[in-house]
Amino acid sequence: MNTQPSLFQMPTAITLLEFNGRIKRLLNSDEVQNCWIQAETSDLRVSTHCYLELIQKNEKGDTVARMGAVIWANAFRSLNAKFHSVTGQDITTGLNVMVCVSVSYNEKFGLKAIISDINPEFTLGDMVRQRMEIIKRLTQENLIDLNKSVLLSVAPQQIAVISAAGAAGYGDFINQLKNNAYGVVFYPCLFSAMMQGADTAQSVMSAIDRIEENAHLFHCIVIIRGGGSSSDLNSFDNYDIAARIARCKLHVIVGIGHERDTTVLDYVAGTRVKTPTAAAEFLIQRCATQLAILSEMASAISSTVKETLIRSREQMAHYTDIIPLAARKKLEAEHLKLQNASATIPVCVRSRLQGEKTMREHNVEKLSIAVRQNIAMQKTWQQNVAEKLEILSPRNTLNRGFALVMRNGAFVTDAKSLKEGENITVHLKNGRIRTKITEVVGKT
Amino acid sequence: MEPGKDINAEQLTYAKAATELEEIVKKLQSPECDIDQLSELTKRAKVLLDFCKDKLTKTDKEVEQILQSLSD
Repeated sequence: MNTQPSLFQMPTAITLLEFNGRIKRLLNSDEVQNCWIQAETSDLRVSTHCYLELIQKNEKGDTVARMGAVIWANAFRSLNAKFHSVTGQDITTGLNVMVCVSVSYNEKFGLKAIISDINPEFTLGDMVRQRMEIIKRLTQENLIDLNKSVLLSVAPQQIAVISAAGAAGYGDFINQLKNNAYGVVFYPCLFSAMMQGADTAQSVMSAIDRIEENAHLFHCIVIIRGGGSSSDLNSFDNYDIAARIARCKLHVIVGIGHERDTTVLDYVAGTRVKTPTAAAEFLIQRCATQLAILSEMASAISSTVKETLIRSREQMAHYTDIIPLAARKKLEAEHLKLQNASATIPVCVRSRLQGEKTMREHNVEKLSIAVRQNIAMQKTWQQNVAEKLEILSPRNTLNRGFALVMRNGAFVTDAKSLKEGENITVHLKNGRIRTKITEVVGKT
Repeated sequence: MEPGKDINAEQLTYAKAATELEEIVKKLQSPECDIDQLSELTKRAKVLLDFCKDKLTKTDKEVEQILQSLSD
């Protein structure tokens, strides 16, 4: 198809201005006027009016929508004040905002979104949500209290300072340290870094790296930034800086912004103070406390030494008094002991003798009784023996009808020893007979 | 520790000195501290006190120069 117009079929053309005028009329729709939208601010610059880009990113971070926007100077002053009073910071790049926009089309300058209002609560909520997410992650990774466990020197004098070189906050910090009322000497060493804008995180982390290369020379790191009028504290609500501070070998003191400003770094730092001046005051007070402790120790040592000397002298004086007295008491006690012994010995001897005498008498009596008893026993025994002898005597035997046979003056007890014809004497009661054996009976 | 020992030779730091001072005060205040130890402990305490005070209030040129050389 040939779209080339011929000379004879020339279409009716309108001017660019007229074309743009048509666009302008089309854009006059209510759908694109006074419309509240959510977007991210980018490339913001203020020169009389505030110019910026409103962008939208997808989950990957790619920009999927973009439009140039402007806040006219008179509106900007009031909107910025309103925004600052709620969020604690100015309208700046990198914020999620809810703004009321109207499309404006100028035939000469093209399309612009005119911002007429802003909802600061939306941005505050978004900032708080972002901060809470970072804090939650740091807590889950056990980083939130890690730097707090790095002990701070009792006298932190050698201080690595991370700050923007010419910043008012840094100047205040140095002056405060130098002019401290206690005469404490500090050795601040500046490691300059970007303290606002997109490069803040990288710049601060690089400074920490440089300090850690010489960590043995420093007692702590101080990260300071004054609040200033165009606070851009959002760049400190950053996971990477927070995690780097958490893992720092040195104790980190953070003093960023004004009284009411809070960033994630305040949660993760070893010590948090409000401002650079407060950071200086914290260090001064810590060293001043040491001076006071030294002074107390000096007094304690001095008074203890004095007390010990006084006590020793008193002890000596006490011994000087007490030794002669003790000796005298000892002598008296020994004398008394001797006296007691002198008095006691005769009594003891007498008592002993008396005892011995009583014992002897008692023994004599016992012996006498025993002898008497023995004699009586002997008598009884003799009587018994006499009685038994009497019963067993030959006379008694003869009386009972028995006879005793004797041969040649000896008793014959066995008939077998006798022979027929032998002479024997037979003893009977009241006399004896002589006889000759005529027969031995029973002899075998 | 010998009272008169050279504090540079023993590489004393503020923290070490402060800790030793506290120990000396405790020893001096304990009933076991006899008069024989008094002189030695007091001399050592004086050395440590002077060291600590100087650390806090007198400029150490060497430290100052090293840190200045590192400063941006």
